[in-house]
Formats: sequence, structure tokens, C-alpha cells
Amino acid sequence: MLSICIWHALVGALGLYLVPKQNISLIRLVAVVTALFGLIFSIYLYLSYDQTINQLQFIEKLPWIGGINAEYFLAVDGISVSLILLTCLTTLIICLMGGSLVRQNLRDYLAIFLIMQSMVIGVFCAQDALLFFLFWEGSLIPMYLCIGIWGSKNRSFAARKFFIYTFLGSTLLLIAVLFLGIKAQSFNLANIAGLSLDLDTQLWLFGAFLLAFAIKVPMFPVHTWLPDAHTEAPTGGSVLLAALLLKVGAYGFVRFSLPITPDASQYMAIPMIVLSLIAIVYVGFIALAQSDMKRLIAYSSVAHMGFVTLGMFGIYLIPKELAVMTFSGAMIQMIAHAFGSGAMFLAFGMMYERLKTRNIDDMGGVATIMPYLASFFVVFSMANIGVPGTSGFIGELLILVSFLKHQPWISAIAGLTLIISASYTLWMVRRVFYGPVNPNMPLAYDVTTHETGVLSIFVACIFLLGLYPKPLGDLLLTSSETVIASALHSKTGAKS
Amino acid sequence: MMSEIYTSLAGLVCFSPLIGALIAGFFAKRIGAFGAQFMTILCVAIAFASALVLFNYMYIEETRVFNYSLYTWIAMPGITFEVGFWLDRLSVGMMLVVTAVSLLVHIYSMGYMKGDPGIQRFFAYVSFFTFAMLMLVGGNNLLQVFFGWEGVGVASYLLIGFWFHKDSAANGAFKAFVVNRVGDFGFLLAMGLFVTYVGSLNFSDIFHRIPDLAAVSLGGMPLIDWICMLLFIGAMGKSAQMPLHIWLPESMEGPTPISALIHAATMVTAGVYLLVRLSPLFEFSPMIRSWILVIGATGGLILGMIAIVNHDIKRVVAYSTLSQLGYMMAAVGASAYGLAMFHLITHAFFKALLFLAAGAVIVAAHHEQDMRKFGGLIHSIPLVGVVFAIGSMSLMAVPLFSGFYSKDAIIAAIGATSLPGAHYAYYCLLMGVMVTSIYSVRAFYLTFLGQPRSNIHIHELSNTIKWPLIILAIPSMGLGYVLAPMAGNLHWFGEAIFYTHQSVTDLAGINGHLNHPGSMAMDAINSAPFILMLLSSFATYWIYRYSWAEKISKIFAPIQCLLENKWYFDWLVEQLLVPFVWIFSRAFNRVGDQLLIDQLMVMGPAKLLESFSLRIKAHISGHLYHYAILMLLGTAVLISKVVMI
Amino acid sequence: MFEVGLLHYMALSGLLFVMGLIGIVLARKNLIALLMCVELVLLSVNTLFISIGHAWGDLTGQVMVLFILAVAAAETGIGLAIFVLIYRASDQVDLEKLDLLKG
Repeated sequence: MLSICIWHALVGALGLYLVPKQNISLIRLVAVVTALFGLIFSIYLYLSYDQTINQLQFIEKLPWIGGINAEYFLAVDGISVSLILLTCLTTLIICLMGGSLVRQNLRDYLAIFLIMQSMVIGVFCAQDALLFFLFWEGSLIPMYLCIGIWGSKNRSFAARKFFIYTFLGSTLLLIAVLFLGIKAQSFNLANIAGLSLDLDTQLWLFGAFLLAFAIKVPMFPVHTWLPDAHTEAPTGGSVLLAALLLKVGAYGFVRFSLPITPDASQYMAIPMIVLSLIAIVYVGFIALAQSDMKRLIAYSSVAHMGFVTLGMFGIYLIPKELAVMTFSGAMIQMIAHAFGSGAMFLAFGMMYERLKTRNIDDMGGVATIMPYLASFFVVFSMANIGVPGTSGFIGELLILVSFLKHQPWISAIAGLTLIISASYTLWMVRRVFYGPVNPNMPLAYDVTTHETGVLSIFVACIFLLGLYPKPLGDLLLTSSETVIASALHSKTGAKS
Repeated sequence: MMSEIYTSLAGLVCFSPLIGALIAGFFAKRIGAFGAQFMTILCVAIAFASALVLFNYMYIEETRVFNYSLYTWIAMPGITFEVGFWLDRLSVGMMLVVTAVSLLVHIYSMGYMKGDPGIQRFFAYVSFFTFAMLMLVGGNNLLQVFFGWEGVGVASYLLIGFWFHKDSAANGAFKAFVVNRVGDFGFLLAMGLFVTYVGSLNFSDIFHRIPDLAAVSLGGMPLIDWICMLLFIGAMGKSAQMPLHIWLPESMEGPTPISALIHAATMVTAGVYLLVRLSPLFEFSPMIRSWILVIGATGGLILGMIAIVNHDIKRVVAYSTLSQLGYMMAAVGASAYGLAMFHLITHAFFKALLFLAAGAVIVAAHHEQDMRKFGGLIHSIPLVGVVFAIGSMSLMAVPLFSGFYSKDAIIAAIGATSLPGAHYAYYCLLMGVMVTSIYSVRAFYLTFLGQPRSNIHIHELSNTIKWPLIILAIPSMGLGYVLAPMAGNLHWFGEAIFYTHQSVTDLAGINGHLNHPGSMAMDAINSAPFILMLLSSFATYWIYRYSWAEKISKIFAPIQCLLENKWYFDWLVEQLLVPFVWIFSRAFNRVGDQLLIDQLMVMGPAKLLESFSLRIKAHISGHLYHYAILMLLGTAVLISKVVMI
Repeated sequence: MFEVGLLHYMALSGLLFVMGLIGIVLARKNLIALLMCVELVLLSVNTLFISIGHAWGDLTGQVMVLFILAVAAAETGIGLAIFVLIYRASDQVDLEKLDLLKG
């Protein structure tokens, strides 16, 4: 079942190459049908996932590399299911949008996103450390190609920076995985998590994991590849990067750092929280100073992902009940961020198609010439700011309130995001959309019906999630409890 | 059976404006301007009618409290966040005010916005605002209140920036939202304290747990004080208390009906409503109430003074709103919650009237707002002149007008409390009465009396503009008289408001007074506020009648300078805070991120590697036989090592 | 006449090897000569394999030679093909002038 979920997109990508290059409409049809199939399948997955059972489901296990006991082991819990849904939805949106944003090599472009979908879903399903690493690296290459081929002016530099930066982290991840695999005689994540390790070993492993995942998330101070990658990436790449690839990093923390090195995570909780808070406040300030619209949104992504890491490592500082709340908040924030940032990147891509500039000073009064696009963008901004009723609010609320009794300083600092995020987002909206029309802007038409439809999907998600997040919360709840239980279970005590 | 009726009525009240907004927003092109107006007005009318029925149940048929949850928003271990309604006399009374004013503003806007290309958008926003405000008012838990709280903020942002092509409107909208967010920061933290200490955001749970909360202390200050402080910070943002008031005057860039609905009658009073709603908490925090009293009263005086020197007719009314909000807050501080609500209600009507009348003047004068260019308009638009006078007299607290009962009662209540700072607040508000009279008379004189100062061709006013004015003039005159006996009862909102024993004894005298509105008006003739009001009104009238204003302003030049610069609040923000933030963010960006992290930490090693490889590269000849020799030598070394081992 | 023994074969092989190496290092003019020298080195190894295999009565040595011959043939083929391409591109096969990898 999960195999179909993973590999159907790859099959679809291969199928694209059976279609002649010139037949653009058929290419788009194949891509959209593949993505749609994925979405329907993942919805089916969600519906047949049993939320009451507190364990991995849809298990698939085959021997893979016999000599080292690596297995082809797939299974999901609530967190994975929610992220798979998100992946399929995002890919569908990109495939729907693909044709109107990219004109050259459309077939390769769409194929890359379908491959990426396979890899990312693979990451979310893999329960074998080596398999996880395979998919993890596999998701890197399509993104590299995507930035390198369809990016804007400075694309090769950005693509290289993105690749080398994230790859550097991955090598350490591989070393850590191999170390653990050899020690546990198995790459099964459950077996690895069952190892008892002393604090020093855990700290070393935590460091390796941290570098790999923190770069991907990205956390302060290893975030600088993101603005570059985002600015140069094509629209679809930006959407996917914001909506999915960053989540892969955060997901890595959930699957590796917390269960495998719980004591080291506890030991490092305060530094991690401080880094998260810096990301929230300091990066927010940086976003305020940006003059490139896409960079601004990228920095706001970093600030929002700060909440995710804050919620994940905050569990060590508060009692268990509140920990579940803050952790679920972090997971919801991951999903919500995809809708807020991803949608903003998509809407920006449409604007860029028309105005051919990313520089905010070259814009102004866009709302006068593109009122519908402006309305969409304002809705996305509100989601980005975290106005109640939109998706952006839930995660921030759950994370902020859960710290107040035991660590009020965290809430007080993180709460500043209310002011900062409103400032940079609305200041951008004010400069780009409001005010008199900038005479230097080219004449442009408003969003087409097709584009309106695609943007409406995001709007629907934002409000659906914002007004009724309970299904998502329930889906995440038991899995969050499991993760927290293993994250709080000390391993050094077990070793005598 | 009854509960179903309540459920459906509350649903109708809250959601019908939303439906109107959605229809007007999404089908804007299909239904056209008239369709959008018709649909939104119909929906708000339905809401108003349902609110009336609810009002009937709550006040006439004596239902006490109705609390139900609509659905669970999200459930976490130990706490569920819900969406639901809490109907009692307080919330239903507020709903009635909101829907009534909203309905009139909708009708008025038909005339005011005539011919604007974005008219459907306008009506959609206004209806959405009404929805959010009703969610705020009717919420049975703080989360839903916060939802409405931010929702009205968004609506206000969109409406202030309605004419988004104007720079001033765009800036005003931005400023309003961000300043409000400072307050929301406090609100959110207060919610966090409730979640972690009470384990619920529902009002019923919170009120039950107050005795437990009172025992907890946090960082040397009682927990209740913290909560009340944070909630008050929230209310400061929304209700424009000093120093977070700076957004309200700028919000006047929006269309005038909006200023009447949002920035006078409803949204800005949300803060007052919140504090009244949570009176059981505030009663246990005398220290914070003392602060509320002082801040409210100070604002009531000094923000009103700015109106004396302002020339923009809308901004004069806006500053007067700031001043009146100060009165309401001060009343909350003095535990006179019922009186704060009383003033809130009367103010909603007479201030809406003033704004709409000002709007009518603006329409008549072809969107001219500068009072220096008006004069003698009473002859051309007598109706507007009369209703403006009625509104002003109500604002100035002329006996028998509705503002008189609420305002004089507040002043008396503050005089009677024993909180620290009460004396200061009392004299501030007494002076405030004088200030109110001065700017009201000045605005009326400059606009309607004297000789025309420029030749304005008067624009005909439509009936949709006139009728709301007439309708609003009635409560502005008589509502106070009608409500005073009710407000005289400390428990006129049923059990919604809680008083400690101390407050009850403090307030007993004032409330007894209100029970006889007729004799209260007679007695007022030799009371301090009335005499001050009368003196300052006549003085102002003579000053303008004989054109002494110039001379007087020269005598008080330093004060005038202070007032014209709005006590330098805006200067502080614009010249100190904003550049400060700007410098910080630029420095973070350039030095912190681009230089230190990106160039040094990230690109640094890359550059190092590059220079290293460049240096080696210089020694590479490119000849095949050199590579061969190196290879052979390497192999030789390797083999010799192996052999040696 | 004297008996030709294993030692002689080994000496011959060593001689061929050294000749090949010297050729590789010193053949600065012509690519073809370079290739021939590489072949010479391989042949010297082959000689060694055969002679030692014969001496020890082990067939593995001769099997290995067959492998090496196959590889060498392929290598020469590819090498020559590359030379032809180089010649087409630059009209010469002079090693001195082929220094595109120069830093």
C-alpha cells in the first residue's frame, strides 16, 4: 500500500517520457492525473488509518541488503500520514500550475516534481535508517536540478550552495546511521531506538543529526542557503522547498534526534530553544529589512520554522501533558507553514510572471492593477501572520500557551512574533500592493480563472485548517504522545 | 426546546452577517452593487431582528445565562478549545448595539459610497466586520473572543486601507494593525496563563477557578495581577488607550461610515467590553484597576485636548472618541462596570451620529474635511447641523441628553472610589468635561455657524444618508433617560458582572441617583461638571464669535505646539522607535546575516578551499608524462611501504 | 649454449618493464609511442605470468594472461579511438602541446 503511494509518482514521471515532447497538453494531463491519483490515494490512506491504535500501521517489510540487515521497511504513524497528505496536495498544485509558469522543458520540469514527490513520501514512510537516508538524499538531487535548470539569473551558484550545504549535513547523517546500524546489527529504527547509549555517544550522534536536520529545517545560523535557493528557484521549486523540503528536516528531528538520542536532546534542549528563539525574533528583524520580495518570504519561512523546532525541543522543559500540546503544535505549524509560505510563493510566482521583478521598490499599487491577486495575497499574508481562523494561528497558539506556566520567558520572547511577523508581512503588502501605482511597472493582467482555481485550493486549505483543526489534531495526537514517550525515556539509566 | 431557540437565534445573529459578506464578496460581479447592498443589509437586518428577540428573552423574560458549545475546535490532552456562545444580558445587550449601529451604517453607506467602484467589496468587509464583532461579543471562551478580536482587527485593516491607492490610507491601515498586535501580544499571553493555570479558556471554568487563582503568585506578583495586566494591554491596543492610541487618528483615512461603526461605536469598545466581561477577575486586582483608572483618565483628558487644535472634522471626532474611551476605561478601573457599559452604549449611538453627520458634511462639501474651509453650513444642510448639535450636546453631557447620564455617573463614581489614583483621575475627567465642551463647540461653530470661508458648492444629500442620522438622533437624545433607571441597578446585566463588597458600597450612592433621571438632570445644574461645561461652552462660543482664537492661540503658543504635535507620541514612535527598529533590522541583515554568517561562516571555508586549490593549480603542467611520473613514484612509495612491512 | 631458465624470463620481463616505463616517461613527442610503451609494460607482466605459471605448473597464470590480453586489446582500441579524436580536434598528437589540464 505504501509502496504504491511512494512509487506511483515515479511511474508517472517515467510515463511522462512516453509522451512526445511537443504534446504539452498531454504532458500536463499525465502529470496532473498522477498527482491526483496520489492525493486520492493519500486521502484513502488517511481514512483507513486507525487513529485509535498507538502504533505503526500499513507495515511493509522486505529484505533489502542482506549482509547488513538493511530492510525495505515502510510504515506510517499519524505524523507521517499528515505529511503525506500535504506532499500529495502540494505536488498536485504544482502540477496544475506547472504549465503556466514554466515554458521550456515542461516535461522534465514536471517529471522532477513527481520524482521529488516519490522521494519525499519515501522519507515520511521509511522505518529503516538506511532507506530513510536513501530517500533523503534522493530528494536532494531533483531540487538541485530544479534550481539549476529553471532558476533565474544566479541559479548555478544557488543550486551549488544548496546542494553542498545540505549534502555536508547528510554525510554526517550517513556516518551516524552506519555507526548505529552496525551497533544495533540492524537499521530498523525501532531497534536503533532500543539501543542503550551513554551520554557522550549520544551527544556525538546528536551533533551529527543536528547538522543534517538543522541545515534542512533550516535553523539559525545555518539558514543562509535558504534565501538564496528560494530567490533563484523557479516558482514550483520555491513552493516545494517551502512546503515540503523544510518539513523533511523537521521530520528528521522527530524520527532520529528525539527517540534515538533522548538524553542528548534533553541536554541540548536549552541551546536548541535559544536558537529557535533567535530564529523567530532575529530573523524576523532581518525579514523586515529585505528589499527582495522572495527573500523576505524566505526569511519569514525561517522564522516560522523556528516555532517548529521550539515546539519540538520545548517538550523537555514542561510537564508531559503540556509537552504533548506544544509538540502537536509544532507538527501543526509544519503543515500550516506549508499553506502560508507555499501559497505566498505561488502567488508571488504569478506576479513575477507578469512584472518580471522581485525588487519591492520596483512595485507599488499592484492591488490597483491586479485586485484579485492582491486579495489572495492578503489572505495568504493573514495566514502567515497567524490570524485566528487561518491555519497559521493554531500552531503558534498551542506552542505559545504551553510554555507560560513553567518557562514564561520562552512565551514572552516567542510571542513577539505576533508583532514582528505582522510588521514584515504587512509592510511588504503595503509596499507592494498598496499605495499609488508605480509608473515603472509593466502593464499586467489579473489572475486567470485557472490561476484563481489553483490559489483557491490554498485558500480553502488555510480556512479549513484554521476553522476546524480538530481532525488534524486528533490524527497527530497519539503519534505525538508516542514520540514524546520515547523522547522522554532516558537511555543512560538503562545501561549499567 | 428553549435551548434550541437560543442556539438558532445566536447562530442567526452571528452568522447571517457572515453569509451576507460571503455573498457580497464572492458574487460581487454577478449581483452588482445594488445586489450586494441589498443582501448585506438584509442579512444584518436579520441579525438585528434576532438580537431583538434574544434581548426580549434576556431582559423581559428574565432568562439568566445560556452557555453552549457549537463545536470543538481542537482537543489536546487536558484541554479542549471550543467554539460556542455565551448569552447573558451583557452579551445580548452588546449584540443589540452592534447590530443596530451596523444596520444603520450599512444603510448610510449606500448613500455615502455611491458610485465607488469597490462598493461590493466595501459591503462585504463591513458585514465581515459585523460578524467578527458578534463572535467577539458572543464567545463563551477567550479563544473565540480572540478570534473575533483579531477578526475585527483584520476587517479594520482592510477598511482603513479601503482606498488603498492613497499612501495615507495604506500607512494608516498598516499602523493600525501593527499597533493592535502589540495589544494582542498581551491578550495571547493572558490566554496562555489561563490555559496553563486554569486548564480551560471557557468563561464558566475561569470564573469558577478565580478563588484558586487568587492564591497563586508568579515572580513576586499575584497571578491575577499578571493576567489582568496582560488583558489590559490587549484592551489598550484595541480600545486605543495611551500610549497605544496612535493608530486611531490615522484610521480616519478609511471611509467615514467605517469610522462611525468601527472606530467609534463597536470595535474600539471591544477592550472595554472584554474587561467588563472579565469583571470577576478585575475585581480581585485592585492594583491593575488603579492603573486602568489612571491611564484611562489621563487619556480622557490629554487626548481630548488634541481635538482643540485639530482642523480635520473627522480627526476632531476621532480624538473625542479617544477621550471618551478614556472615560469608559476609567469607569472600569473604578469598578463601575455597569456605568462603563452604559457609557459604551450611549457613546455608540451619539458618536456614530457625530461621525455620520461629519460624513454627511464631507459628502456635502465634496470630500473636503478641513473645518477652516467650512462655515455657515447650517443654512445649506440644516438637518445635519441639527443632528450634529444633538450629538455634540450628548457628548458634552448636557442634562437630559443621553451622554449626560452615563458620563456624569462615571465622574461621580470615580469621585466615590477609594482606589489609589482616584483623586487624580477625578480631576482629570472633570477637566476633560471642559475640554470636551471646548472642542465640540469649536467644531460646531467652525462648521455650521459664522460666515462661509470658502465657496463650497453643496452636494445634495440622499435619503439613505439622512434617515440613519435622524434615527440615530433619537437614542442620542433619549436613550440615556430610558436606560438610566436600569443602569442605576448595579446588577442590570444580571450576573454577568461581579462586584466585591467594597465596590458595592462605593457605588451605592451614584446608582441611587440614576434611578430618578428627571431629578438627576435638575440636580446637575449646580454640580461641578455642568458648570464647567456651561462656562467653557460659552467662552468658546464668544471666542469664535469675536474671532479671538488667533490671539488666544498666541498666548498659549507652547501648549498649542504641544497639542499640534499630539503630545509628541507620534513623534516618539516615528522618529525614535521606527528608526531604531529600522537600524536594527538593517544591521542584522547586512552585518549579522550577510557578512558574519553568510560570507564568513558559510562562504568563508568555501573561499579558503578555493584559494588553496588555486595555489595548487599553478603547479599543474597539464603534461601527460608528468602525471605518469607522479603515478609511478606514488606506486613505488606504496610498494616500498608494503615491502617494508 | 645454455639452458634458458626461469630467471632469464624474469630478467627479460624486468627489462621489458623498465623499457616500457622509460618510454612512458620519456616519450614526450608522440602519443602512439606512449601507447606502445604501455603495451610493453603489460607484455612484461604477461611474460612474468606465463613463465612463473609454467615453472610452478599452475595454469592460473596463463588464464590471467588471456584476461590481460583481452583488456589490453580493449584498452588499445579505446586509446587509439581517443587519439583519432584528438587528432581530429587539434590536428596533431604531440604530447608537448596537449596541456589543456594546465592550471
